[in-house]
This record gives sequence, structure tokens and C-alpha cells, in this order.
Amino acid sequence: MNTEDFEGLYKKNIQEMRRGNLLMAVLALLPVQKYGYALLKEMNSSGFPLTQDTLYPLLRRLEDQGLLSSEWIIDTSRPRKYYLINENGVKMLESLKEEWQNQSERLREVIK
Amino acid sequence: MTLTKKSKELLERYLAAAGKYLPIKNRTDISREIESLILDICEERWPEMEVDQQKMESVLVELGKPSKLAAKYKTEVLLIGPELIPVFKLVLMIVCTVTSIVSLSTFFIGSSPMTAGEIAAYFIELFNSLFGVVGFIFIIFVILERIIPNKGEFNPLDQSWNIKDLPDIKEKIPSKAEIITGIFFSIIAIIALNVFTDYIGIYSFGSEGMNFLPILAPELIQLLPLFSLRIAIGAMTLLPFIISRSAELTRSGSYYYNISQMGLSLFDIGILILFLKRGIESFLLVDNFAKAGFDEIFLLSGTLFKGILILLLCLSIFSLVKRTLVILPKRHV
Repeated sequence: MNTEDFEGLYKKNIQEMRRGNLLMAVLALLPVQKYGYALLKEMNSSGFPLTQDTLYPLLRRLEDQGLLSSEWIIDTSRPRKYYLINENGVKMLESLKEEWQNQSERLREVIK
Repeated sequence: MTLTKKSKELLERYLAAAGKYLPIKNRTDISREIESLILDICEERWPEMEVDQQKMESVLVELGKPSKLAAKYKTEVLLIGPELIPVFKLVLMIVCTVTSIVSLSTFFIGSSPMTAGEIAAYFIELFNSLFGVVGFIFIIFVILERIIPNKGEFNPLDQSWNIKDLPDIKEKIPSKAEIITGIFFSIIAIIALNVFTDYIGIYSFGSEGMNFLPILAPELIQLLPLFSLRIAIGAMTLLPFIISRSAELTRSGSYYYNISQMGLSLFDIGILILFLKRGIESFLLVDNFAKAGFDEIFLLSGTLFKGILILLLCLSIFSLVKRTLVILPKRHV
């Protein structure tokens, strides 16, 4: 495997690893309601670089799954869609956090 | 931050293009959110400035091809995904138009008068064959969807995306003046067709004063209420453009607009076929034309009449196929 192939594969694996964490990060960052672009900025500055075409559909999926609530609010001059974690979302986040901690402990044991 | 008229138009075009590929459920909502995202990006970059066409172009190019952006929102497994839809539409349009034209031309070659039952049987057969063709192409594309691995790269129609490729939505949003003029003339036409039917004809001035020769045959007069209905429905499809914001309509309402236009096209096809099969003599009083000295012109117009009707028929079929294909991706084939 040449360096280029390795780099490509590495990036792909990183992406896959991040995918699950992304969901937790989004849920964790929404205890107060935020609109998509503000959340995107916050995710990027929190070390979860992602693009709008990943975040916006993800928000919608979480809303469809009943983990987020949303409402259109007209602030400043124009309407924006605000998202907020709901009761189900909080429950899900707590369960995922627990599972993630268990997994990372087990993983730490395995890879040490 | 403010948008110039041109940048606003560009944004609307982008949203309309993306809207076609968004899931039908929540389409308006997703479209509004994409609009809000674009405006947020603009506001962040040019907070106190005017966003001109060039600036808007740069943001839209960054967001990428509308169909690809829309594809990210797909939640369910589609039988034919958005990557293949443009090719599917093109193939469908070509095949349906060719099938219809070939079939119609064989229909008109046999010029012996047909009974209404025979005409109906012919059209049932035509629609059967069209459904067969559509079904066959559909199945092929459903298979293609499953066997082509990287459909993002398989894109024979548009490998690169250019902002200039955004469809013009202007034609879909008639101006208020146009709509009002259209409705006004529709009302005039309806009144003319219903109230003044007896006055439609050729007026000439002879030694005995004014002569009047009616030109509409009874068969045509019988059909006039149908024409009035056609004009009224045509005018009514324009009404939502006055009531609602035009931009909203291009995104959500165009579905209903297209459906009504399809209905009208079907109606037109029916009427045109009827005209073609029955001939000009059934609709206009040929003798009166001759009496008024129009016979030569009339002979010519008889041929022209057929030619124009066939042309109109082709246009109606094309329009029907086009409208059907426009609404297809929205239904998530």
C-alpha cells in the first residue's frame, strides 16, 4: 500500500469513527435552542469539523427520530429554524454517553 | 446585509433547482432552511454590505450542485436516486415523445373516418403501450440504481456543475400584470364564446346593406361550453400566483400547477384529436366561406388547419410528457 492509499484509507476510517460521535456532540450542544448555522460554527470550534451538508440533514434526521424539537423563530430580520434537544433526546444522549464510556474503557484495555 | 435583485433571483433559482430533488415530505421546510443557511453565510461574510450576484454565486458554488445537496436529505431508500433521475427523465422524454409521434402518425395515415369507439380503442392502446414503455424504462433504471456503485461519478449528463445551468424559474412565475391581463382576456373570451356566438361570422357590405354569414358549425357550437371551461380552468391555475408569494409557488405550489397544466394538456390533446378526425368541415361552415369568396383561401387553410392541429398536438403531447417528468422526482420514484 502506498502512502497515498494509506492516507485515503486513514481519512475514511477517521470519518467512520467520527460519525457516531457526531451524533452525541450534536445532542450535547443543543440544551439551549440554536439554529443550524450557529451550531455549525460551534461544532467546528469544538473540534468537530463538519460541513453544512452533513449537519443540516443530520439535524433533520434527529428531528424525524423524535430526539430534537424545532421551531421557526423570526429573530433579527428573518426566520431561522431553531433546534432543541427534547426529553427523548436527553434520554438517548445519557444512554449513548454511558455506552460510549463503557466502550472506550474496554477499548483502552484492548489497545493498551 | 441586503441582497440585490439579481442575487435574490439567483438564490430563488438555486432553491427551485434543489427543491425538485428534495423529499416531498418537508420539502418547503427544507428549502426554507437551505435559504436561511445561505443568508447566514452571506451575513457572516458581508455583514454590512450588499450581496451582489457575484458574491451569491460564490456561496452557491461552495454549496455545490443543487441535486447533490438535496440528495443529502434523502431519508428513505429510493427506487431511482437523484443521481440517475436526470438521465431517467431524458430517456423517458425521448422514448415517450417518439412513441407518441410514431403512433399518432400511423393513426392519421389511415384517414378513413373512425367511430368514437374506434378512436377510444386506439387511445387506450396508445396509453397501454406508453405505460409499457415507461414501466420497462423504470425497471431498467431501478436495476441500474442497484448495480452502478459510485453513482456520484456516473453522471453522463452533467459531470461538472455550473451556476449558469440553474434553470430559469422566471417562466414559471408570470408577472402580476401578465396574470391579470391573462385572466381579463379569458373572461372576455368566455363571454364572447357564450353570449356572442351568434355574431361570430363574416360581415360584408353589399348593395342591400350588411350581410352576415355565420361560420361556426353546430358541432363546434355544442363544444363551446367545453372551451369556456378550458379557458376558465386555465385562468384559475394562474390565480395562486397572485394570492401567494411567487417564490413559494415555484418550490411547493408548482407541483399543483404542473398537475393542473397536465390536465389541461390532456384536454387539449383530446380536443385536437377530435378536430383532426372530424375535419374542418365539422367545425366551420365551409359553404359560407365559399359564399363570401374565401374558397381558395379556405382550401389552403384546410391544409394549414391540419398542419397547425398536428403541430399543436405534438406541442401538447410534449408539454404533457414534460410536466409529468417535472413532477416525477418530487414523487420519489
